[in-house]
Amino acid sequence: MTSILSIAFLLALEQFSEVNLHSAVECPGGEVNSALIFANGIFNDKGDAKNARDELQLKTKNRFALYDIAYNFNETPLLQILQVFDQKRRSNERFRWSYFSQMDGPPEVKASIQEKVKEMTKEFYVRDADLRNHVALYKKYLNAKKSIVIVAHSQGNFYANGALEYLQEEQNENTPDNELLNARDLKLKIVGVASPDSYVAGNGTYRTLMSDGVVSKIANALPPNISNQKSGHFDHLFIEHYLNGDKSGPEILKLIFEASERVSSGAGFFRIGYLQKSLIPMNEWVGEWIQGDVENQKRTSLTRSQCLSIQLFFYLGDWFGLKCEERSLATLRRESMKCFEKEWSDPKQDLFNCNLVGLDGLIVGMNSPTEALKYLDDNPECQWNSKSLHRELTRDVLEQALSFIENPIGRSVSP
Amino acid sequence: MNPPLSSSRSRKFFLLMGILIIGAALVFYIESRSTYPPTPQSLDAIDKDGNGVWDDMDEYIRSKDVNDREKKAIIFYVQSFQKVLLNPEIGFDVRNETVRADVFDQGFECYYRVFGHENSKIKDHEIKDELLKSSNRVKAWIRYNQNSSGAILHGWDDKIQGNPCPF
Repeated sequence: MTSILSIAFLLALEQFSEVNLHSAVECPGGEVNSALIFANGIFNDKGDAKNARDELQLKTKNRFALYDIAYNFNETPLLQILQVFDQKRRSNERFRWSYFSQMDGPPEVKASIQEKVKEMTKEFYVRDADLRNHVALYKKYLNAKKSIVIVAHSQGNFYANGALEYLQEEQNENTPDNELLNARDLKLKIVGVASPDSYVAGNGTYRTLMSDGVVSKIANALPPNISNQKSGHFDHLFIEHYLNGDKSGPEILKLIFEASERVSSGAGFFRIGYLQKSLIPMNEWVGEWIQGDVENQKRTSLTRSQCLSIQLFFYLGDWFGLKCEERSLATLRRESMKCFEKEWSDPKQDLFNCNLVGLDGLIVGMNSPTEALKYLDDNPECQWNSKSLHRELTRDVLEQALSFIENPIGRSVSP
Repeated sequence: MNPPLSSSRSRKFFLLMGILIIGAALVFYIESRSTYPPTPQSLDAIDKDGNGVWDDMDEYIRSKDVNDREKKAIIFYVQSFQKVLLNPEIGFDVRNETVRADVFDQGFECYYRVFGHENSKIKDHEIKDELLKSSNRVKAWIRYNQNSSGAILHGWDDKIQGNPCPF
């Protein structure tokens, strides 16, 4: 009887949550424009790395725009260990010089120390073909104005640190590549997991288990800073021991979302500007629309412009005092993705012509109408002077969607 | 003055251990480098019934309590795995960005589309363990992974790549 009541309670709770979940977890953040990259550890074959990436995708609820792996698998197993020690030795040395370069001293000494750090960073890059490949990917994403969060496990930390430091060095130098990066601060953060390195580049964060039997054997590794209730064999595996750990799992996810916010500074939301509307009527409409599903077992379908309006509504930020967390979002996120997939399924990246003040004809690549609108919202100086903003988005459809957000109450939903 | 006996012994012990580890690493390295490209003979790739699955794996698949769709997913995954074992150079394709995903990636993706990641009935590594039963197969697998090292492994995109399962 108790178990039946418990099940009934859980079912009721699930129904209730479906309708009224107003949780920060459901709110979109910077990750909608970010790539989550997994840098794998030692002895991980492709299958292991893919499992880790897929697990991250599940746990972060598929909220990042991209999930990739910066893969490394060097040499034979025993030589991998030697490689780790070599990377560790070089990384320590570079970190030492980098630390000295922050200290006060005669300018000429400081300059020569900084030069030494630069040389060492470049040496890493030149010597390691895998690192060069990873850096090329990060550059590609940064150039496309995507921010990056690297989740680095074990040996992957050497690669992540090396890549970030190389990009920083390059950005500091006045090279053509630097111009391409097009950002004052690198939009890249590292979340280290079981790091054998003695630091996390770019002021990143990390978690290492107290019971990690591998990292604890490595001299000068970052000190352990978390423990789970249950410990396993060596406690070093990414999924089993870290991501599925009762304490370490939620902590790592928290660090990932924090890192995402830091690199994007709220870029996932539409800001004030292009879509200024009161959200209260739309919020009420969404609540009723979702409720309708519970009673009738079927949700009424949406027109193309209504689909766009709920997608836009989902991505709106803190406007007129109604924060994301206060809106009905749990079902909305899923539903908006569903209808968006159906209605806006053009896989090709489109280009649209944006005339910035003083800069005529800047061509920008867009993957979706939402991305196009987001661009307009971020760049209010950008004039929309053509009929179509995106292959599938016309002015008419957009105006209908905006008008729906403004006044959805009392409007019938098309069958 | 002579050092204490225990300290001298432990130093010798660590020296010996160091030599042994380095020696083993060298032997492993030289051995793995001198391996000829894998052949169907060296991998025991026997497929008497010609169904595209090696005979030892046929037996394994038969022993699993799975439905028809799941069986197809296992077979497709095994076949994709066999292909990279027979030709580890496939690893360069993704590494050099000539393709977005190779045959192994497709087999893996299809497998989890059918089985799902959460509470999956059979995990991919169980099949991997079953396939990599001989040292030659392990070497071929390592070589494929070495060739893939440095690659960017993108998530599967249905819009670009279509359904990963051909059935």
